[in-house]
Amino acid sequence: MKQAIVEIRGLTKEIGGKLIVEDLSFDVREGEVLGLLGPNGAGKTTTIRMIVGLISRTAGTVKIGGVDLGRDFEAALAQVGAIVENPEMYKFLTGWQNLVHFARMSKGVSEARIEEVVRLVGLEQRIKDKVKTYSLGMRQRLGLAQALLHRPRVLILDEPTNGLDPAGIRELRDHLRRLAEQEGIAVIVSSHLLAEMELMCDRIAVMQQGQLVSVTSLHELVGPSGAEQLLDVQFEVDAAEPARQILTAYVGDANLVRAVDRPSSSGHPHSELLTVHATRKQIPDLNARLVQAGIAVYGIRTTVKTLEDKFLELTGGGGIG
Amino acid sequence: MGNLIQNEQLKIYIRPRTWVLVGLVVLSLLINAIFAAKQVDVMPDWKEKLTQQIQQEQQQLLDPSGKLSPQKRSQLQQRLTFDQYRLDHNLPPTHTTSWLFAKGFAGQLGLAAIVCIVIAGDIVSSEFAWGTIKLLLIRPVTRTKIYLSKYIATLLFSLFLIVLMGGGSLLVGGLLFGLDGLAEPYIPNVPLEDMVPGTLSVGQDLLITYGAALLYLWVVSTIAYMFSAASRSSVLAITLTMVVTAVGEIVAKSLPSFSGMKFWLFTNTSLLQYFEGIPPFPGMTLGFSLAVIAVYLLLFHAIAWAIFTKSDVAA
Ligand SMILES: Nc1ncnc2c1ncn2[C@@H]1O[C@H](COP(=O)(O)OP(=O)(O)O)[C@@H](O)[C@H]1O
Ligand SMILES: [Mg+2]
Repeated sequence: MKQAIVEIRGLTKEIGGKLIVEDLSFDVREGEVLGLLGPNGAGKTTTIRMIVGLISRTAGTVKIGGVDLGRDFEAALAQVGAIVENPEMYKFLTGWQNLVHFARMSKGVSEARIEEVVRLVGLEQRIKDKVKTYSLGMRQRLGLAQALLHRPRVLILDEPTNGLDPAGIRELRDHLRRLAEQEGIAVIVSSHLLAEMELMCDRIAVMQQGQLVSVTSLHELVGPSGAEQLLDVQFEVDAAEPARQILTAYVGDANLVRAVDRPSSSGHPHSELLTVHATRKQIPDLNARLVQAGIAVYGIRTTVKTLEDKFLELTGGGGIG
Repeated sequence: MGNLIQNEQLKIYIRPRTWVLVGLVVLSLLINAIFAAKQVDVMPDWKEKLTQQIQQEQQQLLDPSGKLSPQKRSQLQQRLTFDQYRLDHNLPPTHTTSWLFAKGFAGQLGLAAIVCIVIAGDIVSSEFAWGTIKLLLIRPVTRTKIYLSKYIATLLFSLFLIVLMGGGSLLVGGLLFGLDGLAEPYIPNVPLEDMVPGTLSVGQDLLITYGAALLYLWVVSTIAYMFSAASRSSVLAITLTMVVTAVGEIVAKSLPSFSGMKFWLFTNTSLLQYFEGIPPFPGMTLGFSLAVIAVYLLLFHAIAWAIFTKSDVAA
């Protein structure tokens, strides 16, 4: 297990008696991209603002590289690069002047390093132009550049894909993956769009109404694929109760998802729909047992759970996207 | 800190707005020059007039009716001493020199004060308006250092403006009237009680005048800076400072009988009153005024610093 660079414990924010972020605890490890996923208003930006010290913490601690933010702000922030919401830069300065400005605020950022970062984000052509002439995509790049200047160990991006076209999102994803994998940077990205998180992140922390619902690796969330993958398997049978006993005896009570009564309609006799979690391998067995018990099986349907389904399950169906 | 101040300077001087404001001050200097050039110089008969005036003053000092208060008497005596000095040293009272022109320009601080208020009132709040405050505050630099660097940049701007006004007016004055006369003794219109003629040169007086002007600009800049850091709104900060300054000055002038007014900030902000003219209340000295100003500024900073460093940035 790689070293945790960001350690968040019991992070809480209360404004006007209202809990906006409640008792958040999680770690972000070296070389890992952690997605902070949640619907608008879930408290993602508030959490990020607390991590970078823009707003005070009602309770809890934030440690960056082992340094407590509340104890030594400068030493903690020296290891952090961030964009909070939109990357607003000085419009009357050129991109280069903006970077020089922010470079002066950290120790040991040489001109060569600024040039390196400019190349990294692909702004060489326009870096000497005033920021007011930049497109949103270029401002995002410049924002990323200012966050990377001082070689941070942690990169925090709040809704970085807002306003980016699919190509821009792809490019950002590649950047982040490279930074994490090659430079060992710990990355925190927030988004309200699951599809984007899926592509970028190693782990996803799901937030809802200020609370952390779960932190799962993408691997766990999607689950294993192939013969071992748990599917939703729906059996259409004539007798619900005996069928249920047979099925649960095999897969266990916990894996019975639902039983629905399907009334008869014209050309269609009355039937029961039983859904269980089972692997693909188990389906013929289950079917054989039902048939042996004299239960009529009218149909078998399988559905693979998408990440979206899992997410809806986790958040209790709270709106996303 | 040096780097931070450099950044703040960059952001002030790179903006065209700053140069428009500075340009207005330069324009007012040129307008002054045009009027000064048109003024009639030394009256040829000034010696006779001054002699007459000295005789009058001697008459008054004899005080046949005995109505002269000791205070009035010493003031009159002092004026007589200086008029006599002027006559003895052949210093005409109404001639225009480059130093007089420069001193006159320092008296017109209103525009410079407004320029300083705009710069200082905008320097923190504009970062909030631009949204750049977020990027500024997530650096490995404490908010106190950001606060100080912006304040120092504000003070340096006032210094720049004062140097520009002093240097510019001496230059323009020098072109119009020549640069000689800077070593001449300085003779104020209303001399202080304990002043000995000839001890202060015209050049020294000019330094004092511009020093006092700089201090005044620093006071108004600090008020604007405080409002900027605390309110996070440029419009509010600039407007409030103008109102507070205007009302403060009016109050200072309109309550001359209440001696508690000597602790009022704006009773103390014109330091020139300790070099020429009469301080409004007995017991007021240069040191007293400096101390009163320092206490006010520290108080302003305590409030603005606390708000700036402690409050949430959710812009
Ligand atoms: N300064 C504030 N005062 C009151 N409520 C706030 C404040 N800031 C944020 N909120 C509320 O907190 C919730 C979380 O906001 P935010 O952190 O911006 O969510 P997200 O970034 O996940 O969309 C929202 O309901 C928002 O209205
Ligand atoms: Mg947000």
